[in-house]
Amino acid sequence: MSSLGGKLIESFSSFKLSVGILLGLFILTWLGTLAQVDLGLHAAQKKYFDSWFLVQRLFSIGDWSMALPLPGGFLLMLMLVVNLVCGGIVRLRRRWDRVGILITHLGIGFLLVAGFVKMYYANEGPLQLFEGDEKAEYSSYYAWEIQLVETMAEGGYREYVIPEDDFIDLGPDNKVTYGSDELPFDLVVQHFMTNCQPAQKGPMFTVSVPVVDGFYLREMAPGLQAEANLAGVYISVVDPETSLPQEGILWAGESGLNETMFGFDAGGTRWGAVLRKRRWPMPFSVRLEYTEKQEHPGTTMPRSFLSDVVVTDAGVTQKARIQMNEPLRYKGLVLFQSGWGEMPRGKYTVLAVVQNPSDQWPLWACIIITLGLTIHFSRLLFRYIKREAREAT
Amino acid sequence: MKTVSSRILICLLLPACSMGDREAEVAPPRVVAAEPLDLSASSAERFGFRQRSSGAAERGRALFAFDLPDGWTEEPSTQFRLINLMAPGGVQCWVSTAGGALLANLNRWRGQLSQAAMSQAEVDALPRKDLLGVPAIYVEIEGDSSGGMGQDPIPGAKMLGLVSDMGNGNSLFVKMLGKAEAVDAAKPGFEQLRETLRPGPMADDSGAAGNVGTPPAAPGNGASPIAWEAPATWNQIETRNMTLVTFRATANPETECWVSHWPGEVGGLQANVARWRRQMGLGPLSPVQVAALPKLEVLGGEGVIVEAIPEDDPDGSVVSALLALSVFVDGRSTFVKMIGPKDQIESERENFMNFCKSLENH
Repeated sequence: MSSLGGKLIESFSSFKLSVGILLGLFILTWLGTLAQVDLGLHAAQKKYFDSWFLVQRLFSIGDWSMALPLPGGFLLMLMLVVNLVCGGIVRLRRRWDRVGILITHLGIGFLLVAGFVKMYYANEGPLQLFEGDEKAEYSSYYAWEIQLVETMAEGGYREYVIPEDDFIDLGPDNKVTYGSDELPFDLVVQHFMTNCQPAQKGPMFTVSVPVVDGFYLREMAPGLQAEANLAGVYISVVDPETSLPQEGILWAGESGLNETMFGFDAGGTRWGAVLRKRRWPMPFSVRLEYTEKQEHPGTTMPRSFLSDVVVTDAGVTQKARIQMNEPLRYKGLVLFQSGWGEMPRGKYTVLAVVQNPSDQWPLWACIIITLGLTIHFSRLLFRYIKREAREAT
Repeated sequence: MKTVSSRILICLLLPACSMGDREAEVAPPRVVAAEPLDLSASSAERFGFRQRSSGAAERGRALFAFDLPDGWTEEPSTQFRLINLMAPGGVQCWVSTAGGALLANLNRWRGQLSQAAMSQAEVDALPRKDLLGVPAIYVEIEGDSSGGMGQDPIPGAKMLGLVSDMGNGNSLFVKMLGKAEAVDAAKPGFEQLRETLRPGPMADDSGAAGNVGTPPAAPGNGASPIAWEAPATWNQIETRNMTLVTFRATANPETECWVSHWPGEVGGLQANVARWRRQMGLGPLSPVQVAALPKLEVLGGEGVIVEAIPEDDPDGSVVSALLALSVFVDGRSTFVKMIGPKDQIESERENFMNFCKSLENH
């Protein structure tokens, strides 16, 4: 253990580090829970748990404030995995009486890996269906995308989708330029706002963002319910030959309001652009046949919801019932019963669709952990019984 | 050891750095079969500051919607005719509201066609037909029309009439008048109008100032389907033509609050919220935001409280604001709306909420 690698493993596998990481996670959980009051669930989760580092404001006196940099949940969890692997697996003594501990550590490591896979590769969002509705795509709770549509001469539209990845974290003076061999223009995106409202620019005040067609985007503080935020962004459609831009504002509230889009001409055809919640196609369609809310007697408090759906996959249909704690798992998607409502148009259900490659991994991890603990404690129990019997004789 | 730790730290920090201007590739397209998209709307229309369609200009069309019978034409509405239609053969058909006793109105019509007055018992025996979800008295009168009100006399005339008590001292009328043969020929169209007449997209705005004034209804009583308990600081004023009751706040005299009650969903909550906010100079809310609006259990259903309170005008001008309750129960919509200067609305907020909570089905 005198080599650099050995020293590293020794450092990363120490119990002190384990205690420090767990203490750090405890503090983050405490701060994150308190922060939900002011930030809301999603923003608090992003700040405290989906982060490498964060700055925690402690207190302020006048213009002077005290802040403390802290490791984020992502960093601590990564360190926990390293600590677990180094301490519980690499440095563990290879003896039969330690096999239970080894299995338990492998299970915990697997559980953490499942969390990482979910964080990076899973997506989820709501699917609202009125009775009789059939849909084959679901949208995100939080993520955005710009949809560009080109009117086709033979009818229909050609759709280009630009996910938010490159434009949501742009600085106020930065922009991203999108291009493609198939696009007759470059699309410049800038001034993304997480939550905003279009407003008419009056003569009595100035604004720090561009004014397009008499309107500008007025930035607002993100709401406590992040899924209710209405994002906005400025775009410029630039003809590469003339460099003449067509300026436009995209605002997410528009897509919920009507079927309009920002329209522009390029390459001899009519185009449209809209900012909307990111959508994912499903490899099958779901039609809602019947939905029901059961209430606690004498109240309007829901006791349970259920949805009878018909899944159509490549022309083959099958019926399924989705209810609380009994989701539908099909082709890598999990459809949970999430909400229910009634409007003049009729009853509707809200299903939470989750696409998670590690969906069942926590279950397997728990089984592995249970197995490891059972082996370990059984061994201890037998040893105790044996010792007691020996002392009794 | 320090060197290794520093390198790890640098690697961890790198992803957090902003990279300035960027260029990115757009993924290949896919063909979609969407409903026809509107790619020509102005910014004002896209952001909900202006109606996309231009048909809402006429008040009658804003208050009522209907399916125009084949061969009929729509005439400009007038002071007394909210909906003004013309059927083949010179037959006039219109929708209007007015106050006054039912018997007096019916006998006025009979007098216009040179017929003797009816007794209350005869009126009670008249058939009923469904109009806007409630039974309306149906009457057919034949005789010579004496004209009047700018109308030419019509010998051998026939009038079809529907009278519905609106529960606020006002009545809703659907009338058709013309030559008897032409009226008989247009009768299926009259029936179609009756069956398809429904609240228009702005029906709940009927309490706004500027409507025809009528005597006040009994507070929370009379034929109103809804009862209420008004705050002591509110005065009931003249009931406007499509409302159940209208109040004015004593301490805030520029603030008025009214209740209206309609069959159907009257455009739907999403559209109504967008319109109310637009009236206050605000943009619309998303469906998610509308779903998250505060709720109030009232009238046996779940009401939705809507606020449209703009920011203060940088110029210091008075800003109007709105508080509203929208309830949809048993196929009918009830609206309570309060509009006034922002500061007055804020000071009347508690009264408004108490008033909403006091609503009960009669």
